[in-house]
Amino acid sequence: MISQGTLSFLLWGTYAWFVVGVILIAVPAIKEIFGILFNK
Amino acid sequence: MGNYYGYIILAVFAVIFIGISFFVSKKFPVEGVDDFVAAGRGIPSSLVAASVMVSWVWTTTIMGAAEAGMSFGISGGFNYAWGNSIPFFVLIPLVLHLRNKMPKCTTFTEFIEQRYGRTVSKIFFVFGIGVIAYVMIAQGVGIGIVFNSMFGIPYEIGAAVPLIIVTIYISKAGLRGSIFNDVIQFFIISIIMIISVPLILRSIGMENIYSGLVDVVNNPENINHNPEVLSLASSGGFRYGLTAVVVAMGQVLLDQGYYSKAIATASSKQLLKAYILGTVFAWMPIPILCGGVFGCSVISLGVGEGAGLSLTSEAAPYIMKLVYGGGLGSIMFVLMVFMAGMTTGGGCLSGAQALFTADLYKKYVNKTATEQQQMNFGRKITFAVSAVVIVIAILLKGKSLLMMDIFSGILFAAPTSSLIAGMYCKKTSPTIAIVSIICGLASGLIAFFVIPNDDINWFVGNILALLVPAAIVIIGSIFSRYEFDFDKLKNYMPDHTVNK
Repeated sequence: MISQGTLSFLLWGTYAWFVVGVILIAVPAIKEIFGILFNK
Repeated sequence: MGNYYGYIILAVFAVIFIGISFFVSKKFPVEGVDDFVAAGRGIPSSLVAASVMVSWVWTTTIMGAAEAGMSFGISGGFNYAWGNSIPFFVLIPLVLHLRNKMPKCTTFTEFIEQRYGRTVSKIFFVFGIGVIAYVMIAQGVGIGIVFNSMFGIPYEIGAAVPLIIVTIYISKAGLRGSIFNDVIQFFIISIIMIISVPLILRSIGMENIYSGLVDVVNNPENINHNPEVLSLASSGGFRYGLTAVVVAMGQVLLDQGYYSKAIATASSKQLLKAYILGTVFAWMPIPILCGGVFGCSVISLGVGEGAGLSLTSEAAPYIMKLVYGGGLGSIMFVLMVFMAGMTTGGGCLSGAQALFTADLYKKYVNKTATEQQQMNFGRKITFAVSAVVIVIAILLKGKSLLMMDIFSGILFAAPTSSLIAGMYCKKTSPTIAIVSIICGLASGLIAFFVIPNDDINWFVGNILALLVPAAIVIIGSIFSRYEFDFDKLKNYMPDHTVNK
């Protein structure tokens, strides 16, 4: 049985993992979309 | 909630997504078949990553993982995540290898035809369309149920309208339109998750969640009593993950939508980056969060089937309503499921469009067709496939998808071994491929129907459908005298002009 600290680490850690993943995709994706909308 | 909220959501997003497809087709006029089904092979990694992530977020990724969290506790989401990720760790090197060995390939059935011949290719074509139809039906049914239960909109409208929207934007702008809409849907799903998870954890409180789960572990009177709920090594959870591997294997490896996106990516380096980002970084945490936060929060509150919920699949909407309040929570939840279903359905439909446009029409229907005629056929067949899917989804009103899911594992796992072997092993012959598929299907179905115990027959059937063909392919290839010359794939040229 895991402790409260481990549960907290798992859930918040997974949340941080998701946020990092989204940022890694979203930042270049926004740049690409702006490029498509305004440069071409 | 009043059903007008549901109609407003359907109408607003119909305008947005169809509008985007018109914008995309105006900005990037479709110049030929390759542009239509492979987006000109120049899409950057960030857009493909967003598209891959949302394509693998099914309605069940949200609702099913939350249910797994209720059933298996903290390990439920983790097992859902690894079980459904393994097929991507098979697919990623496979598509990289395909791009390298057969640079002008557009569909996986083209590869199968060159590798094993036309007969085997036809078999894979049927499986490919079967997977696409199954996945689309599952999304239509899922969205229909959610719109019906949350807004009271007739199930038939909730199931049909999202599929009609997807069909219009895919037929209008092809794969490029699908990817651009996927990116918008990626932002909507991500924003809702990023806001909701901390809100749920703060509202209920980590201490309360933990003490509620300890009660689930220790109190036999607790409605959700499960001694393994706080264990990461739950045996039930592990079996659940193992079954997910088998069921997902065919759904990933036989879905042309993933091959189309891989081929549409600008380079192999960007393809690797896009698929790793889309699956490992962005997709994998979603079922873990849905299981760990949505599912575990619900059981920590003492809520369960028959005690606050009529079905465990209501775990995710229950927690959203609790935290946001009925109105906003319902809308946020419906938006997530709506986006998840639309992107998954869209990815599949663009795959079907590619199979029919690039592979079927010129070979079997009109050998002298121009590219414009091929695309016209692709557009018409997209509507035809969608119409069939909508009718089946409507007919499945009130039916459980569980049986379909079990069968999808047995049916679609069988061809995956010969597909993988065909990519890497020169000694796997067309005969071995056909025998492995037949034996895999037969052993899986026989196990399912002959084993009287309903608790294990589906599990054994799925495992056999995957492992029997694998054993036949391995043993058959070791003793085979057949040798395939992979070099001839390098010079393959499809019936349409390839842009790069």
